[in-house]
Amino acid sequence: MAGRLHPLLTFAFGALILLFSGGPVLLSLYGSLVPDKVLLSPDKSLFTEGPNFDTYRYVFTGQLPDSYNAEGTNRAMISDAARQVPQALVNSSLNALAAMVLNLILGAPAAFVFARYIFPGKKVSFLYLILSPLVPAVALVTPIYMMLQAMNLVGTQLGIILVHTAKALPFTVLILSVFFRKIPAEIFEAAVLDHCDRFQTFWRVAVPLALPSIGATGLFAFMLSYSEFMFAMILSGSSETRPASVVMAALARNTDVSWSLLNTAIFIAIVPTLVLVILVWRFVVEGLLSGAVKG
Amino acid sequence: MQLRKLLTASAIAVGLAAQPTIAQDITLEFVVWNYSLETVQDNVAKFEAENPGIKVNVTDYAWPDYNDSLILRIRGNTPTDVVYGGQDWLPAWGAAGFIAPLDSVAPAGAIDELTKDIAGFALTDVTYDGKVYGLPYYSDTISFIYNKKILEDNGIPVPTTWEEVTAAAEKLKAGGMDKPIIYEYDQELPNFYDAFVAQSYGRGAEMFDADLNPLFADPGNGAYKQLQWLADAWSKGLVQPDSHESTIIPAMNTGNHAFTVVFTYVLAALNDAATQPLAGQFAIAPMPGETHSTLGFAKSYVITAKTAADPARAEAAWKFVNFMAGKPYTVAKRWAVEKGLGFGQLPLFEDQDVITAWGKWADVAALGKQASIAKAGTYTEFSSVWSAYFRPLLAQAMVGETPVDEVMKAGAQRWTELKQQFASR
Repeated sequence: MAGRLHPLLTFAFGALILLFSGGPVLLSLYGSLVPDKVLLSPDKSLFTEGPNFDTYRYVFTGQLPDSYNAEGTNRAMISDAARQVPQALVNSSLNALAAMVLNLILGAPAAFVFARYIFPGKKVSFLYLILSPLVPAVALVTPIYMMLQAMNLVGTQLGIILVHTAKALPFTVLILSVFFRKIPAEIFEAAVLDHCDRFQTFWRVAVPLALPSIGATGLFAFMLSYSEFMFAMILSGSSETRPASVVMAALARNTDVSWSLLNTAIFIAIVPTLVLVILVWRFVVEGLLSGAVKG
Repeated sequence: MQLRKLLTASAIAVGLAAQPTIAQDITLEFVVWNYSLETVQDNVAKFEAENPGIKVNVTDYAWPDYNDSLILRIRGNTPTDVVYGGQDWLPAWGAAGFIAPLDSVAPAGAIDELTKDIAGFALTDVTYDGKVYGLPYYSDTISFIYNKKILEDNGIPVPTTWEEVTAAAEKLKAGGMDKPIIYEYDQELPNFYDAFVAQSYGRGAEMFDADLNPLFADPGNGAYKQLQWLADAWSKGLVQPDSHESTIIPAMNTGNHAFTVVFTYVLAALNDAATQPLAGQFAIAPMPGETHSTLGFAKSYVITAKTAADPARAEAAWKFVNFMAGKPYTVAKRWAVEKGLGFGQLPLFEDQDVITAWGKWADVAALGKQASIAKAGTYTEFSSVWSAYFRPLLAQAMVGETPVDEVMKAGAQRWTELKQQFASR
């Protein structure tokens, strides 16, 4: 075939992609399995010294790595922010799950109404909704903080969940309205003939037909929330409510973290995310694409 | 019977209402950047145990976002009583009325008594408009650090002037060491300017006069000379630029560099036996130059103005700040011994526990001497704006892209403009 790439070129491209996507993961795994002294020494390596799980033990139990109990060591570099990672993963998952559910509960009916009905102000409200993400998030930080402070929601997970829901909602409405528009009108007409009211038409006809797309959109909202940093940073006041994005930023940007500990925290934080992405990505893509060609 | 019961109940209710108000627990909101939170929480627990009726709730933010988050918090009226303060933020916080002078909350004479023990640079850093706003949580200086073994092996005495540093570096270069000096070179970092000021202080330079007029554009000023020295060292190929102190640590531990100028806490990391292959080879020397002074800085415990205005909260907040930074300096000592953090309370340099702990990575007497002669930086409401303007110019001058004279004149002009703008605000 004339347009086919040479197998070597394909292999090279594949290797490059693997290097950039898998390389950092493997490097962080390597860095987490050796103490700093080995990591920074040109003469020592994981293969000569063997794996060391002390930093993992520290993250989960708080027991200091043995190398930090040696004479003449500097404990300033053993940051306990790393110990927040497990709780932060739980917080991130809860936030993202709640934001996803709220997005679907609020976004799917809204998208259905925008897709199937004509009402005064429809165009303006739809434009407002889909253009609102164009406002830079940083411009909204102060007003949103003030608003949530007035509602006594600063430092709570509910505050973060509400903001994440609001941030993802325009995308949910936009994507789902496209799906609902692609469903043939005859199906809804048949539902009306069968005496379905508007809610029944939505709940019994539109939702089952758009279920893969709804699932994909929900996962999209989940991922937006899981990785969001700025609002999570200003709204989460303590380690009890802090999500992974904020903890990871603290670890990566504070200078008081040893390389080994930083790598351990990175690896622990990315493993669940990677598993999630591997499990659901195909589903997300298929769901989104099914909407694109339907009709 | 019913009536009697009703009267009795009413009498009890009236009696209860007439009781004097029982003192309620106060919960202080303490805001920190997220360094060693477990130690912070443990210190807080010890304070709470010693002070029944006062609880402390700790909120932390990441260091790079701390100032912005805190300002948002205070502007948003989020309850905030005691915060970590920084020397560079203090003037702006003070001018904005966010924070209160400590003498407005402390018993008479308490602040004067404590400030006697505080190193000069640290006291300057916690002072704004002539009033003390904070007590040191953590203080440090910028140090000239060298590799003892490399100098001994090459028969080079420890340099005491910048000209001797050049001679030593040239000798090492002639002996095969490509770049004997490694230098934190990132114009985005405030450290980049701080390190330059520290070197200039070593020469005895004053950057500004008492009226905050810039002095550094004068070719006779030590800062001017130091920038010229840096540009010369760069042009001779003696300097290895490095983007961050955290990567200078492994680089120095390769043995490919002999000198650097970094914050003193980096010395602890350089000599960290747990992580560094050349641990033990590094030492500080007095900052080269005529006076050997250097730059010091202090982070502090500060009380918000809103808290100071509420007598009950102010009293609790003062107790807390005094516990964390006051005599007998138990908390400051704990940070020093357990975490290697520097301190502004000079008597701790003579504390045996501190000497034992720090003696593993530094000459404590030399550090104490350095702290006693270190000077604070000049911080104003506009200094961060000016520093962001001046750092790229400094970077250009060092590598020879822009003449030193041009850079110094531009820096002085910008400072003067900002000073005038802020004076008329």
